[in-house]
Amino acid sequence: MVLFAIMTVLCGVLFLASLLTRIEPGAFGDMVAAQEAVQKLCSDCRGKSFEEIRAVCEEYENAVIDYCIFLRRGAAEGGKYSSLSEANEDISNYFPRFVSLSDDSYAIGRFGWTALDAVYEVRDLALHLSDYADYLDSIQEQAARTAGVGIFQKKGGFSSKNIQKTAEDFAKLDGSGVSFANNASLEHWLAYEFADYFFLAMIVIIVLAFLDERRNGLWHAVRSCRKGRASLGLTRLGILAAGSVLAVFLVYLLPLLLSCAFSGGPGDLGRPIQSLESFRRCSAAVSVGGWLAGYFFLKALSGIVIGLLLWCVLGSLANPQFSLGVLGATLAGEYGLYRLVPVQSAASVLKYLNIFSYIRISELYSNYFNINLFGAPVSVREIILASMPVLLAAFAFWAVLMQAKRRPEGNRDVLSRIAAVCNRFFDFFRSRFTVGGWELYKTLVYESGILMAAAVVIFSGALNFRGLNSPGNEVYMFSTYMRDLEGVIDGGEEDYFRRARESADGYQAEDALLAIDLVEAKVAELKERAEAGGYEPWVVYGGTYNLFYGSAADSVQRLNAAAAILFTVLLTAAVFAYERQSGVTYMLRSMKRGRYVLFRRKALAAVLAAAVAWASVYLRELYDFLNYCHPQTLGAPVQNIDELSRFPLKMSIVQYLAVLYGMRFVMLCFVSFAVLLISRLSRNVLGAYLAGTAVLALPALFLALGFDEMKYVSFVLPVSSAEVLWKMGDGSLWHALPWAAGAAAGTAAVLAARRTWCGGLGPTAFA
Amino acid sequence: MELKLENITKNYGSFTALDHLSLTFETGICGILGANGAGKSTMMNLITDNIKRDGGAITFEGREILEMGDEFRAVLGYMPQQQGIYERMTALSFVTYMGRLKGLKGRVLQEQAEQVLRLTNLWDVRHKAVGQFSGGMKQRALLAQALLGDPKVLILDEPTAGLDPRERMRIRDFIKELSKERIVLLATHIVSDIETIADKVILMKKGKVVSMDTPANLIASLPEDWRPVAHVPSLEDVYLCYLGD
Repeated sequence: MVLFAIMTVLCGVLFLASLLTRIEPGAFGDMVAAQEAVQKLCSDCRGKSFEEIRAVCEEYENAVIDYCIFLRRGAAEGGKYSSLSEANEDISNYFPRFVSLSDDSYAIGRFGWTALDAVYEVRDLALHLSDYADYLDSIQEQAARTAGVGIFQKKGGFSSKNIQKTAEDFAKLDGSGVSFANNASLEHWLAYEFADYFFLAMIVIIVLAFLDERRNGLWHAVRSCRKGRASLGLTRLGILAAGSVLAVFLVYLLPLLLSCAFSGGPGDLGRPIQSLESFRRCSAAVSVGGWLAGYFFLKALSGIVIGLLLWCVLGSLANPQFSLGVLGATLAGEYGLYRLVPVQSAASVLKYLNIFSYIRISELYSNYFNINLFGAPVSVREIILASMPVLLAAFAFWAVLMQAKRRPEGNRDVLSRIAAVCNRFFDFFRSRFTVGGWELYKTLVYESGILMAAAVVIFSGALNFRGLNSPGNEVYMFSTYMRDLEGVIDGGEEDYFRRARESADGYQAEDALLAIDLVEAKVAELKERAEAGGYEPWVVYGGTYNLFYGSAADSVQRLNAAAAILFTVLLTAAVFAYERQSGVTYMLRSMKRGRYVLFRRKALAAVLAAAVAWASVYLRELYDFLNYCHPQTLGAPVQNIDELSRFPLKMSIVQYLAVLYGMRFVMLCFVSFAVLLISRLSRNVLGAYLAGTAVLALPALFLALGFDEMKYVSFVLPVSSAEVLWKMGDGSLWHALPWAAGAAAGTAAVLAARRTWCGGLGPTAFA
Repeated sequence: MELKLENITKNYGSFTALDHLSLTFETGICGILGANGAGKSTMMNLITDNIKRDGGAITFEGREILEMGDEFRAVLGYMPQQQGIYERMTALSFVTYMGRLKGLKGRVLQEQAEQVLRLTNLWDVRHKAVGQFSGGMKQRALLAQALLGDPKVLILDEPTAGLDPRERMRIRDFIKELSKERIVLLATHIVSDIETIADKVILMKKGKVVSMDTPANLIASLPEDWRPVAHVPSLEDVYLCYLGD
């Protein structure tokens, strides 16, 4: 139940995150405000024709664009408004949140995108509804047309039959039946694919619990009980059914309710399901309400079928040690078939009679597929729906029969023999490992470090490394000239400015000339500043650095630091907890090298874990930065960047970056030491993961989401280091305090962990 | 060789596990008998420095073991009572890993690993994961690691629990053989094991030594009213006499 609760919360949090344009402070407020505005938009559209709805959407879109242009350029540039109060009054009729943001250009830019995205969704819906009838007609026309074309005339050919069947299936739909409503809540909910994986994970948890007695050596005892066979099988069948219904409620119904809470409900439940853009290709004549009811029912049913299948597969293993491996292989195999088998291939049955087809029930309705079954086109939806009760009955029978008849004759199965052969091979190497080698091996293999590292690398691919940047035209031109001119100031700039002024023409000439003037003034300023500061003058466009490491990227940096901390927790948490879970603490501590040497090796494993987290997040960032910046500027003294003009240490930009990335690694090592202590104090690996996440990762995530007070209790600022260094641009070394605090906390943690492992306190409470 | 416990005290809150215990162990097997909670495992955990003592001193060859640190642990072989083990390691991996932690390496490690696995009859299943072992096999794997590194002090907490009679006798004979050059502390509930191989027996109750002597002397000193009528007196009768309530 604890795992169910954790997954429900995680599922809900990820669902909310999926509604945001960007994950940063203020983005949630943007989303709520945009959805409120869209509700008003939809109520404005009520009773209007689809064409009129599109016009209303354009009105909202123009309101956003005009307002943003006015704020950027002012009334003098020919904008729609003559004063800010006029602009505010107008925009408050559409998106009132803009008015409260009027002194924060970054927040306005961000909300502008969120608002436009929301309006575009309604506009696209109107577009879909207005031409839906034409779409249905086109299906019928295509059928009639292709019937007369040569290649389709082959009597009894699959293509011909498929087109005719498609036309027949869609013929029963009424193109004029679709109606307008605010679909945002349903569309956002349907787009949230993670729910399917949480659902699958919950079913897997239930099934693995059925095998607990085997793992704990109680299989014989359970089978010896009066109700330990068929009766237990039937009871577990009931538990699986109830668990599946509960899982549907937690990971599908709750996010739907959340979505409705933000987007104003599902709208008229009696309208045809085709009124949703996602169901344009749906051939089923069903209402939204009817579809939702059927969807939840089918989801619960599919959960039971999947659970039964996994139960049958895992339950047939004589040796429960292989459960997780076989489970992984089964899911990987099924996913491979689901993704790789072509739709119209002979093996497509394997694609559709598949765990992943069963958990993606909505795709059966949002997509229209027929497969070639002995020359006849058969609807995938019909196959899956028809197969479900058959599989349910067959698997249920198999599972209960297995529970009743399967004897615990462990260790004689094929997998055990294969494992023995593999172990013989691996033992050759393992028996030559050093203590350090063993620690690494245990971390990677026994503590699932490889899987964690793979997950970390995959998830870090979703990170963004740049701040939000939407400069106006003149700023854009200024940055273009600055970047063009980047390099040592050597007197050749005058010639560049002359040529640039000569080539400035066309409708942007005015902006260009203004930008050149600004660049010329900037170059003079840089020269003067460098002479006063005693360093070499360079033209360096600071905006590039600001975008990645400066104040414009504060939110991004905090979020990435939080991600790096979370990754470090996941990779390090098991290091000590695994020993305690295995019950070997006393034995290890009684060995000559079981205390200080082992501790040092474990600390090294923690440092390696920090290195993986660091590389996953920050090497990606560095790669992105090096692709964006002009590498020739890296040798410039860092003081040439405006915001770092008073940086207290004389160094080049490349040295500045070396300090930045080096400090990040060092601080992540301190985080991993803190995790080491948590791991040392935890009774088991799961407890270490939970405690590490609660103590280190959650405060970091809360800070990244805007709870500023959390900066005092999280490692985000020292790990990010970007804020620390950027603020030192004002000449003060006091901004380095977060580093000192992080180092102190990490050092105290590693010393405490060392003390509890190597002696001193003694491990009475930690054995 | 001499391992000496002087005035050792250990409390768990208000419960006194060891009450000013003083003992001297010399080469040979010293069997420790006592009911659950008598303080046997606490004493062993104090000798292995796995729990902190509240008072007293433990010396090996005249030196405080806490000061010796790794030097003492280098001559120590310890088999804990609980069957805590790395379930996913094979027997060979487990033994070689433990050997590494005892400072063994190279050919010596490989040879000793083979030797202890053969001795505990685990050589044929050395490539099998320990998690698949029966209770008795896990017990033997734990014994195997304790024997690595030629320990001078061997502390065995319930070494023959869960073994079949043949294995038990084999292990028992082997421990007897080992004890010629070592201090072996053997805690067990199987009184016949101690009666057969122990040079000296300590009877413990509520953290104190009730009696200590050779098995023969203990049996001989059995009070008249505790002497059985139907069979020849054994150490079990001594156990019941001193420790039975």
